[in-house]
Amino acid sequence: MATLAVPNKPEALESQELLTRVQTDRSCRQTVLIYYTSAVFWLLLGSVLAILASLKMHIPGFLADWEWLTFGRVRPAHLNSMIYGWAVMAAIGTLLWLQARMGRVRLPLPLLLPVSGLVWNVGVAYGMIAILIGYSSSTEWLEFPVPVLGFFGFCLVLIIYATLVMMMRRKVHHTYVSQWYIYGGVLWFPFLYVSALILTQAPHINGTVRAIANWWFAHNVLGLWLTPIGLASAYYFIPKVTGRPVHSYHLSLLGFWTLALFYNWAGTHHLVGGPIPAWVITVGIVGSMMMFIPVTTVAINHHMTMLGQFHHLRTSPTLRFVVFGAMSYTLVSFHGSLAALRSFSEVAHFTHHTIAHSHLGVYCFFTMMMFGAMYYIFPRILRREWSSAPLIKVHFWTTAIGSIVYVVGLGWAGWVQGSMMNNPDIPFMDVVKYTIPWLESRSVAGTLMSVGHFVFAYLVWRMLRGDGADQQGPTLLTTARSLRKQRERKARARERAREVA
Amino acid sequence: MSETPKPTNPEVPTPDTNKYEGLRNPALHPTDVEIRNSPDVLAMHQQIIREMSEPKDGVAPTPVWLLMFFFALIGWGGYYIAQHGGGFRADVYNENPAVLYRQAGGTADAAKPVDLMAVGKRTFNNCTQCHQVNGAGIPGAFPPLDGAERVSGPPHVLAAILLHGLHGPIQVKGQTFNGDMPAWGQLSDEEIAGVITYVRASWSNKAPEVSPALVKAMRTQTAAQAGPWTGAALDALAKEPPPAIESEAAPVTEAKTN
Repeated sequence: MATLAVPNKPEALESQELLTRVQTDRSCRQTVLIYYTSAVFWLLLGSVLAILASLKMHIPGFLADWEWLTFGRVRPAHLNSMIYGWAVMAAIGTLLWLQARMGRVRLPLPLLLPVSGLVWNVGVAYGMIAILIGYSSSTEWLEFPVPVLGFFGFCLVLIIYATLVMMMRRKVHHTYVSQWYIYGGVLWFPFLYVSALILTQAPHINGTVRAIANWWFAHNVLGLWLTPIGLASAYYFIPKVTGRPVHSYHLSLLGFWTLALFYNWAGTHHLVGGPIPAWVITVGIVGSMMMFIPVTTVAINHHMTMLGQFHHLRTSPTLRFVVFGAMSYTLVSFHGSLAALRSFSEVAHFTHHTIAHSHLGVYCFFTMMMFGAMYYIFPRILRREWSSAPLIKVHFWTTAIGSIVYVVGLGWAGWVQGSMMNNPDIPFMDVVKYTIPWLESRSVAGTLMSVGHFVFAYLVWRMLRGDGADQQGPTLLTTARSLRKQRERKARARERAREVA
Repeated sequence: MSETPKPTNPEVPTPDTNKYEGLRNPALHPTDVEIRNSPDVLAMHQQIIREMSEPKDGVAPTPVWLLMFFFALIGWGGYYIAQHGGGFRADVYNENPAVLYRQAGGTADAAKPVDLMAVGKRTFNNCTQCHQVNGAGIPGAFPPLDGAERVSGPPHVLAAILLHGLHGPIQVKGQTFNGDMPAWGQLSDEEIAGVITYVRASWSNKAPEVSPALVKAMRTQTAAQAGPWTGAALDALAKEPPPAIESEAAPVTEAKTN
């Protein structure tokens, strides 16, 4: 950077910005590529495990003879593959690229960060095998055995270091809202992970304290780690693609600090009715309801930024996924706040409703957000284009429709299931029988989503091979040419209709 | 990962890179050289054309109605914690405010809400051997409870039977039974009241519940009784008024909120 003698003229400034952009993207190449491709691998594995687990819910004998693939192992294996393999690795890749881009700095640690990607993979692989052969810690969201902390801790230290170094070296003094969320998430998550591991796995800590620590952690992984990275992506990509500034700096501020203040309290609403002091649950419920503040703020901010720009959804793959994710964020957060209330929990707790809710959060919000980010970042770091717009459309529609069917079907079934369970006159087997068609619909929806994942993996593979290398300009879902063709097709159809009439 | 060679476009001549200062500057990255040396203006500006500038902040003010909504929400939060926070005590597990206030003011006994039917059903496990689960007893050996006159009669008589047992012939539903019922005085007042309440409200019986206070009073009044009652003594006892109950503590029956 400094070696380039750039004359201080306005037009030269633009080329300076261009060069910086190319350099930061280039510096991210190895690291982000390792994190992203590994994330896609774990996404595929997690999808397969998810389908197995889903089928077992309505075909109990399916693969039940092989102990590796019994429900009690496949289900946590799916969860951990998706969280620590897919979601966290995609989040790390995205946050490193975003930090470099927004600070206009190169990614530091050009050797250690790619190595950390490999180490993270070793950690996830070790944990997954441990779960499948029966050495799960049986604490939800923390099923990996404790030694995995060694692998993850090594990577997290490097990532914290890289993030802070990029903050100190940043060329732009003003920090953008996405950067706050990234600093927050990067500093919160390691603390959460280590505290939760100690509080749930240490031998001399017993009883309900473990449950409290467990749900404090499980909720905060989503709220203080995946949500900040997801929101940082939304705050970056929506103005970036539309070319409009974010609606309000004041709302951004309010949203960030209230998230930081309230989310941490929310986790204990999972224990409504549990044998823990009433105030712990009450505070959790109030914390959850207070989440209306950051969520409303962020929703207004994103919506007002998008206002008048919705036509971009026709063309930009990134924006389509990101806006789907942002809308799901609003929905899942409002639903989560209300679901924390005791009267709601009495019905929905311990039913499929909770499963639908968690997929609305981790899938419809976070995963779709990461797809959007990947559609933007892959072409920048590789300097190639996506090879097929139709396949991107297939990816979007399979995942969007699949996840909506999943969430709506299971959410409804879970509510009815909870109402039936609260009625002592209904035999338990009737409740189970009622859910079966909905569990089958979940398998169909999950298969549809997995088809989308395999299409996406195929696109990534073709990008790695360089299939879109000779293409000029970005791959858009709708181009001037495709719009013209569409108009011609419609005109022809109208003409044919007139002839028939 | 190594650099993948870009496919050459035959229409664009490969630039003679030696002419450009970029290559002579070792600090310059190959990508920078590639961009600076590209003779293709479009390719050079592709990054600018394809991408908007980095995001900026707008300065729209926060709407006042939004802030008012937030303040209302925070007010609700304070109210909810005050009502259902259990006073931030480690030993309060029920979020219902009434439970907390009773616990703060009353004695330990009064603090414990008791479901007499639940206690009674559990205690009744001691009785099923003779009286059977359905309360029908065994004809000729053990008298039935279901539909028996004494069960729905004065409750202090039942408490007396439970406390001291029964010996000799008695009449139940027109049949004579001649046996022994052991004394259950070792049970607590609450358990005896519970089992009487349970028996009086189960099967076809519809008699009201019995408080632990009555059992306590009966225990004091019949302290002098040595050995089991006889049928005649019970009939005499039934004609007496029930003992005066000392404290006002009515049985607290509360649906479990958990």
